[in-house]
Amino acid sequence: MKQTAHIRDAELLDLIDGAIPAARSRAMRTHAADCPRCHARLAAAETLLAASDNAALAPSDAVLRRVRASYRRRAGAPRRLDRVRDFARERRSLAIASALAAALILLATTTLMVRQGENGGQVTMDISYIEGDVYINNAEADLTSKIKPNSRIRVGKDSLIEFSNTSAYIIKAIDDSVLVFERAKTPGVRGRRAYTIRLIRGTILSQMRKNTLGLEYSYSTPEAYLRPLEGEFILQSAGDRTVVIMKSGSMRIKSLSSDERVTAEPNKKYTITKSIDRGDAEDDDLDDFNINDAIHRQDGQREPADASTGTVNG
Amino acid sequence: MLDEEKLIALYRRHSRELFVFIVRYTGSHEAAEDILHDCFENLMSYAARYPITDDNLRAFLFTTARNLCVNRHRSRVRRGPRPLDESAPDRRTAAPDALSESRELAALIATLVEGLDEPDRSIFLMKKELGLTYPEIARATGHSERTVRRRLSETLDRMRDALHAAGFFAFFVFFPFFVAVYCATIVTHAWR
Repeated sequence: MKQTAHIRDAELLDLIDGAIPAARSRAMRTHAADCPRCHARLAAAETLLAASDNAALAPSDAVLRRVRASYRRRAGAPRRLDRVRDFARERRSLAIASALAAALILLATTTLMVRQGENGGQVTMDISYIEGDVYINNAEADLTSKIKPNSRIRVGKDSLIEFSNTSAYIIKAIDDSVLVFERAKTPGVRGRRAYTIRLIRGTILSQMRKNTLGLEYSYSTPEAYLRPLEGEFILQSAGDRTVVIMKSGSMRIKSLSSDERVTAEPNKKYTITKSIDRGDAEDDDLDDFNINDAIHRQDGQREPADASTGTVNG
Repeated sequence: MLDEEKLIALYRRHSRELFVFIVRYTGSHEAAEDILHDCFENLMSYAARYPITDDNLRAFLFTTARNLCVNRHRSRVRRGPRPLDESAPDRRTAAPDALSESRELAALIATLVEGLDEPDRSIFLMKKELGLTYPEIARATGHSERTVRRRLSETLDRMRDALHAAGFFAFFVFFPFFVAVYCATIVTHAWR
């Protein structure tokens, strides 16, 4: 079959899809070979619609962990609601009386919270991931454990815990860290649910979601607060000092003791004990450390312990 | 309500194709992970209220992914442009070798995709990267199949013009001419 008319738009899309009978398809391609206009359209459409090389694109395991954690957070709540609903259906008058009583108690509690101010509400953290040895109040932790206020969390060497109570942020404590989740002492902030995580030893990473605009990462050690902007860096926390060696890009460092702040630049070594010392980075410097050589990337995945650099994209 | 096993099975079945779409839409690996998580959060909320069937699930996930991408895109437009991460090649530093033409072409197509408005951007990416059928794209974007086809044709025309302007496809346009010259040369040689 010889085709003389140009290929129509609708046909062009079907031709690329292979949704046109073979004979007709051959006729169209024969026409395209002779017709510069149709040839250019067909070639361009085929090139534009050819799939990109997506072989390397896959979400990290952290997403599955977050999805699982979200599911578990939700799984408890609806069941409780169902029970309340069933109760309300079966015993209407008792339900109304209970609701009134609950409202009164709530009012009383609110007053108490306002009066006690800094104590805030009870916040419980859910654990979304555990690797290695993690203990909460000296009991071995698993995914069903809860982190209540005043819990002491101990993370063993080469171990990791992720926890949160909303999808707005996630906290990770890694490698030989000790931290305490405690109620915030925030005078003046009355009735607000506030709490702090006090790091005694080691490193924690917090990943905060800033509205829908993206994620912000920061690292904390007992001596310093660090916010990578972009680039590669090595972060080490050992004894009473934190060392940062920038390989590229920059990072904001704040000393928690002296409140001194610097922007870390490549090829410099920053040692934070109380204040921040700056020196040239030499590879020999790394030998000073034999523990907690924790390496970080922006996606929060921990590299193997013998790796020595991390990457952060701004 | 979905049970956990079913949710994880659905995640394993659909997360990769959703992720490819979101990365190609947003140009950012980390934003894509965030949006992917939110897609499944939305699925959990939806499944708590309505029955989920295999028939409507894929369309639901793509509709959600697309809406989240569009929301993110709008908020970024308000904030002004930001650099893409490593998934988008930097045209300025592309090496001037033979391989770089396909890379440059891919980079240029990525730039053109960034310039597409909705629903053209979603339609184009769903076809290009995932090979969805027109009825599937129509369900995910909420347009008729006819509209999807028309808009994709128009998008392809516009992109082709842009690529021509950038110097791509000259070869394809002159291809029949090259063939004619080649044949003429062979015929001439045969005569001698």
